[in-house]
Amino acid sequence: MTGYKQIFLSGLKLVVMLLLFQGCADLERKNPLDPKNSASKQDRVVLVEAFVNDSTPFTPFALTALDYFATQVGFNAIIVQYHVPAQQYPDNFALSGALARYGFYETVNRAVPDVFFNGLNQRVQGASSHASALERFQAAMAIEAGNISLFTIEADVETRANSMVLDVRLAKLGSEDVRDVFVQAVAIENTGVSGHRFVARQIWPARSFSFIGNGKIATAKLTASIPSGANAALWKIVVFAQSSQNKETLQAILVNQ
Amino acid sequence: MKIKHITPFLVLFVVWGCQLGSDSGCSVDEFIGLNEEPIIDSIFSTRDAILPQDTTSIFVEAHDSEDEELSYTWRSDDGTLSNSTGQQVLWRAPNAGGNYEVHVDVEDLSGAKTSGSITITVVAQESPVVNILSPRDGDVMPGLGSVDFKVDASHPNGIREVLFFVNDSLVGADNSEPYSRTWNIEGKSGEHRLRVEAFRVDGSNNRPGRDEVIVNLEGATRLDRN
Repeated sequence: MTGYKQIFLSGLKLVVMLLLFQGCADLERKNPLDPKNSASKQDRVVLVEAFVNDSTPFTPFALTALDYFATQVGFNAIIVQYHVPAQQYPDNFALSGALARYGFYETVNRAVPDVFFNGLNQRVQGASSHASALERFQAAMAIEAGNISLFTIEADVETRANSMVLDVRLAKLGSEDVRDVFVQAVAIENTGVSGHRFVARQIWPARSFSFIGNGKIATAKLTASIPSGANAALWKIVVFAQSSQNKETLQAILVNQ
Repeated sequence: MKIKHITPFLVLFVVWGCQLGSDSGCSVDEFIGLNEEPIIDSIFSTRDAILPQDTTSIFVEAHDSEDEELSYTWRSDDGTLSNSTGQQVLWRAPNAGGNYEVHVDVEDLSGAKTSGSITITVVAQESPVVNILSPRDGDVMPGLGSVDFKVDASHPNGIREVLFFVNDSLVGADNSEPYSRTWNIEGKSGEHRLRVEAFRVDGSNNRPGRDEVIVNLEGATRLDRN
């Protein structure tokens, strides 16, 4: 008798579960982070990309200001310092990929310090003092802060012997499709030296998407080598999505290794 | 033979008669009504440039080929005339500076008339009005390349020249509109005071109009050699 009862109860559980699953299909999608929810959105983290060179006279103003700026913005912004190589201006932190990244934004007046907030949305070029640089950073941030993003980024990091692999998922939120976006990643390191707390150490090749449908999730596997002598354990990985049309940064995250 | 048109013969007769008796004062022009207009030899003022509300005497010298007595009628675009007739008038300048014309009509007894005029400059005492159009006060810009230093300047008597200063150092001048100067800011950094001084055309007691802005140049170093 007990055996029949158990079979009956198991069958009943199964029926209840099936009914629940059926009911779930009809639930309203109210979760703002659910890409299938047409009203979904996220706060946008401001990506601050500073192109600098330690041998140039005005860069120190910007670097010192960035250190202080970072304490003010907290998690609302992610700062990346690209030390741009230049023949006449040696820089111990120079990264060859930084030149290409700078060239994405500027090809004529490449002069440092040059700081971009959410891509080309805001630009602060030059610095005459710590105070003036900080004031201008704050003004740019005030414009960009509080904006929403229609993208969610998630990424997993896999560190191998000589390389680092990122599994990136880019979800399109909101109610419209998107064209011509790419995801890219940068490893940054806090060197412990004042003004050098967000130094770019490696740049992953970008992965472009010509189209991402509304509510869809695009995936990308990004691989970059770990340069010899680098301590990748000190790295933090910044992953961001950007429009290749207007060069606006659409969302950015800091990935835990 | 019958003479149908007698008038031509009559004219010839009179001309011949007049020439015979030239002492009689009879002239051909007079006879056939060819009175010439008076000729204005000169119109002059005791002062070419005066202050607002100041006065100057204006004279006209004219003659008539028929030696007829001449009469003079004066009028002015602005300002006031002491009288409207006679060879000499006193003109009082208006309040506003500028160039004003005083006209005179000279007429002989036969009604032949000629006109002339003189331009008197009224020198406005106020300084020129001058505004720096660009850059704007408080502008912040990277110290790269150059910027156009543009100025709007005006004065009722015109502008002689505009001088451009950066941090009290003269960097250039312009004497024609639009008043501008290219300012090289490559490699510069920090606060800079830009000042312009505009001078009116007349040079006496010439206080310039001034405007000033402060701009902040943010130093930037080019990575590419030019």
